Amino acid sequence: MRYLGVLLAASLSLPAFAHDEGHGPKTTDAGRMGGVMTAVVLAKEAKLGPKAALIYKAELTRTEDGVVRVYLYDKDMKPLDPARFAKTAKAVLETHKKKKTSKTPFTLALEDGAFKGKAPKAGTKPFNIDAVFKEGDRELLAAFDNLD
Amino acid sequence: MLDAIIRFSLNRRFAVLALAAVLSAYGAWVASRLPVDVFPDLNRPTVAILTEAHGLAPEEVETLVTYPIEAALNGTPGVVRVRSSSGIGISIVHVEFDWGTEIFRNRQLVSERLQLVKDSLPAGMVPIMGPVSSIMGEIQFVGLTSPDGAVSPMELRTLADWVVRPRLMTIPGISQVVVMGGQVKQYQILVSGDRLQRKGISLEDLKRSLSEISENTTGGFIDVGDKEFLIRPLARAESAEEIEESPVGMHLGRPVLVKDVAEVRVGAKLKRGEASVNGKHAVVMTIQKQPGAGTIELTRRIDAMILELRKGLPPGAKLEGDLFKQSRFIESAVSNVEEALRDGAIMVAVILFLFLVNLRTTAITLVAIPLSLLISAIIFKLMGLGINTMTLGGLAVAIGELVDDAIVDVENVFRRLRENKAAGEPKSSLRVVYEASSEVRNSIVFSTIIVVLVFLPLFALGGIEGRLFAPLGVAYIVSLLASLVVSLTVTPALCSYLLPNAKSIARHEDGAVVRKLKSWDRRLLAATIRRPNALLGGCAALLLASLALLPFMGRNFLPAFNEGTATIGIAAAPGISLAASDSLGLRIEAAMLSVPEVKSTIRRTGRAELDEHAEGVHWSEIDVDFKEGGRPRDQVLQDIRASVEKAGDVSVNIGQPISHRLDHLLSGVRAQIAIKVSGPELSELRRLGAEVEAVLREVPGVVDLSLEPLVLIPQLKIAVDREAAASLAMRPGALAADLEMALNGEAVGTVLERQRIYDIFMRLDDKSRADPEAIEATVVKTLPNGRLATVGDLAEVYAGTGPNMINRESMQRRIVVSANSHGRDLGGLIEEIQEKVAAKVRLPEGYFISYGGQFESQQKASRLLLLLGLASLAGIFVVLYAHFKSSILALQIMLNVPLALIGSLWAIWLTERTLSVATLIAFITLCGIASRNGIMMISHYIHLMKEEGEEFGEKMIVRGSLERLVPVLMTALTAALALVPLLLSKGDPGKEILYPVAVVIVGGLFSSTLLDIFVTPAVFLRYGRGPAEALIALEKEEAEKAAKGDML
Repeated sequence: MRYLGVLLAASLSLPAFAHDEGHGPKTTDAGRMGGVMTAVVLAKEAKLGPKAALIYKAELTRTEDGVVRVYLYDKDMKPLDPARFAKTAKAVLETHKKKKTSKTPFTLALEDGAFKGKAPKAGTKPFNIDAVFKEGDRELLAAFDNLD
Repeated sequence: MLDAIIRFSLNRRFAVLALAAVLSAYGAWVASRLPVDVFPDLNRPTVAILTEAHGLAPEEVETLVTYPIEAALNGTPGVVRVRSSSGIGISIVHVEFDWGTEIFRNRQLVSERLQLVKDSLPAGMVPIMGPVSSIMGEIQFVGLTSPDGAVSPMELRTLADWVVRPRLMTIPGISQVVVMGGQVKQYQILVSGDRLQRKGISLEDLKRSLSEISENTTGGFIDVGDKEFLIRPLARAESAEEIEESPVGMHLGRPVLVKDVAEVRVGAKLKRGEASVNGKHAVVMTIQKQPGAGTIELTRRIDAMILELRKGLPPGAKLEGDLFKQSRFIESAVSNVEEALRDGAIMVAVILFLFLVNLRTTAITLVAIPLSLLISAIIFKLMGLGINTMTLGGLAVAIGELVDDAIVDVENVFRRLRENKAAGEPKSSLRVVYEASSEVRNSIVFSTIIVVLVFLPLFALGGIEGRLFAPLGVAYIVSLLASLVVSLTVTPALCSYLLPNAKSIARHEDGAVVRKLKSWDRRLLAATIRRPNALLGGCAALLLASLALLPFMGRNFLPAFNEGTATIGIAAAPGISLAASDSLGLRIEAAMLSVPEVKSTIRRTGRAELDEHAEGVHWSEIDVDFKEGGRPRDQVLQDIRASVEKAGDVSVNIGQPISHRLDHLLSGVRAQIAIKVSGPELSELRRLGAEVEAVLREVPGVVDLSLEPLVLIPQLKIAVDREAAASLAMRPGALAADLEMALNGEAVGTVLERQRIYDIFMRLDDKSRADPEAIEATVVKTLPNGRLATVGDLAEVYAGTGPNMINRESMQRRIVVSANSHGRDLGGLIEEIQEKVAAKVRLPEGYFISYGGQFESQQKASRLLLLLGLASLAGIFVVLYAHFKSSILALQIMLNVPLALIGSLWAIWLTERTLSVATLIAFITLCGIASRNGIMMISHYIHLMKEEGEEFGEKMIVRGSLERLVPVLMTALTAALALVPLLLSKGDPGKEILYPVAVVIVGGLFSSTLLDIFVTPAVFLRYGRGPAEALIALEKEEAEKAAKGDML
């Protein structure tokens, strides 16, 4: 995984150092809540990596005790009406150690305009959090990479 | 005693006038030597502690540097607040002490505490105290440029650091010269990670070797024969070549030299700031003065030094001294107020002549103005006060009142001399002057005591408002007391010389203006004197209508200053590189210079060493100087804002240098409303700050809404894998230290060139630290088996995010949402904000919200002023009661206060529609001035009854009112019209704070004088008989007792 990371990083120019090239186009917006931004893509297009089409934007805020909140915005960074999504979302905390990837699922529930949940403790740095939201029939993915 | 003073002055009138002449001459000499500044000393004792933290991230700076320093300083005697900023590679802690504490004692205390904490800070991090500086500290910018590019940025910076700055620092009164821009010269060893790897040298070894390549030591002394020799082992490198030839290790049995693994060159030190003048890169020197140093004199010396320095500059270098100079603002502000003072005096002279129609009486009265002012100058010197806009303002407010006492005296003397001339058996003129002066002395003294007394509680005001208005109050009181002394001494003496033989004494008629006014007054009194209740009802209705205006008026702490220059803060997105921020800054400067009124721009992007700001490289501050004339400043600033916003995606904050520092002094935040969210976690603070901001966005009347830009910026992180490090026997801390040296660099020695010291600086070359894989490939250790351990073996390198800055206050992390109010009452707005925030923002445990900002200072000052105002009113009542022995008479005189309030409120409504601390202070001042009219009227009624045998009744009151009409109108008109020059120049530098004061006093005097002319006679006729007759009886009784010697 480390060598893969080096390979991937080499393909990116400054300042976009990243081991994970992400899903969907890179977002340049500042988080409205002071958190980390990422693109929201169709879950079925996740394999397309950065070429996946941007559907919405998502912002992640975290506390040190693991409480995460995900806020969803449209392409112009206007907050989306949470009512259009299912009230819970599936999330996965992904860590890498010695070329092994481990995934720990947890749930996010809609509360005060954000999907909120408690992430399990990550054993290594960095780690990723992927969240999948249901909007009608489609599943949407927001992948937050290189968290620590 | 007062009679004795008048008698003494008349008996020794020549000596009194000679003494007055001597005092005037001395006063003029003293006045020309008083220190001049724009404001009184507003410095709240603050000590700034700066710690350069070598590129550490804000989280580490906070934990390792800021927190220990804060912890050590909290609890220091006199400390009222400790706030800090932890930025990239810098920790700045501001320790604010209480007003009135002594700065050098405070610094001593801070220094002692810092000694305790020094050892607990990371190695190489030394907290230093910023210099003792003043709030009006930044007095001048000096730019060093090379218009034709003949002198390199490095040469310019060397010139600034080693020639210009040291010379400027020799000028007494300068506390600091902060240099920014250009390129700081250093000898650089740029290590190639690749070559290092090939030579099998680890970072650890390299660091140790490099630290030993340049050193001079001492070998003690040796005696050879009769001579003593100092032994000097010389190993200090003197050139790049010598550094290149230094060995750093062995490889395959051969020495490895620096040049084998690194490039050695003379290069520019890595910088976190850039500067330019008029859109061209330059070295900018910011000159700060010490508190108490005279800015104008200091600027003169700096200019002289610049002229001298220019002679020694290399060809192609230009030292620009004609950029921002605070002295220009001071000179313009002081000269504006001086003009107002002069014009006020002219107005007074015109009024006096119109009423008195007599050159001699006008001259005697006018003498009070220069004499009182010059005596005030002597007292200023004794009290350690200087000339500034506030002391001059106090004199400007008082100038119309300085002649009041003299008017009353001269008018009465003139009238009595005229009556005496017409009498069958005239008394001696000296006797008449004495009796006439003695007759009015009580009303003169009591009205002056009241005016002074009213102002006394205002000295209890704390904070900036107290510092600002106390000198105004001192100037006002001192000049009024001086005018009182003049009216009791010099005025009677001059009257005795100039009036008895005046031709106009023989005339029995008043002047045309006075005759007309008396005729109107007679008719007015006839119509109103029997309707006291209707008049009181009408006044009450007017008062209520005026008070109803209050909710529609805005609130401000202090009026906005017009400093003549602008400080424009420009924030690009945090995370931007210095190069990008610099090129954005150049574009913005070019856009600003295209505005026709802009004369020059000075830009500082990021921060300089020794700078007391922790701003990142995304922040630029541009000081703009304007040409004279052109469009109104508001339009120009609007134009600048538009041109800046067009030049790039930035947020713009337009302010002024001194105002900016005042805001920081008040709350650490420059806004009327500052909502501080405090708590332990940055992510939560950012989220809660955003929620509060969202709530405020929906509140009507909120403008300039801004969330403190504490955001996440990109960070390339190297997370040490502790297991991997342990498997290679590498201590994680040592590894991190090596990486710091390799990537951030470290000074490993010095090179001396002609008394100039340059660092030898070592770090990986740009190629070796260009990208994550280059960093991963960096060798950190050569293992016993010859294998090379790289960063990639021991750590995970990834792109993450981290905070750009961490701000703390009172030991808590905090984020600030700031805003201003527009078109709404600030108090009501705050209440609504508090309600909505409480309802909509759910605070997790450990988080809290506090409300501060200018509104806090304004509300605190307003509450205090209300109490002080009540104390002043109580004081007036007590003095009046002591004099008139009747609460009814005291209250009748105090009726002038609400009458004055009517005019003041309407005057504010018609002009600014804003209440500030300045208007509230003016209200209180007005209470004293307005009471004078009533005292003069009622004292005269009582005099007529007691001394001239008039019966209480309409006839006596009409006579008394007509006799007092002229002095009442004259004192009111001179007091009010003397302020007209302040009214006509709203917003001029120096008059910003005085304008609202003038509005309130002029409006109040207009209504109180106009209404007093018919309200007081009517009310006295209805309610005055009993108290007046009782007072006369009491005084007679006391006089009889005194005559019999019954009294002690």
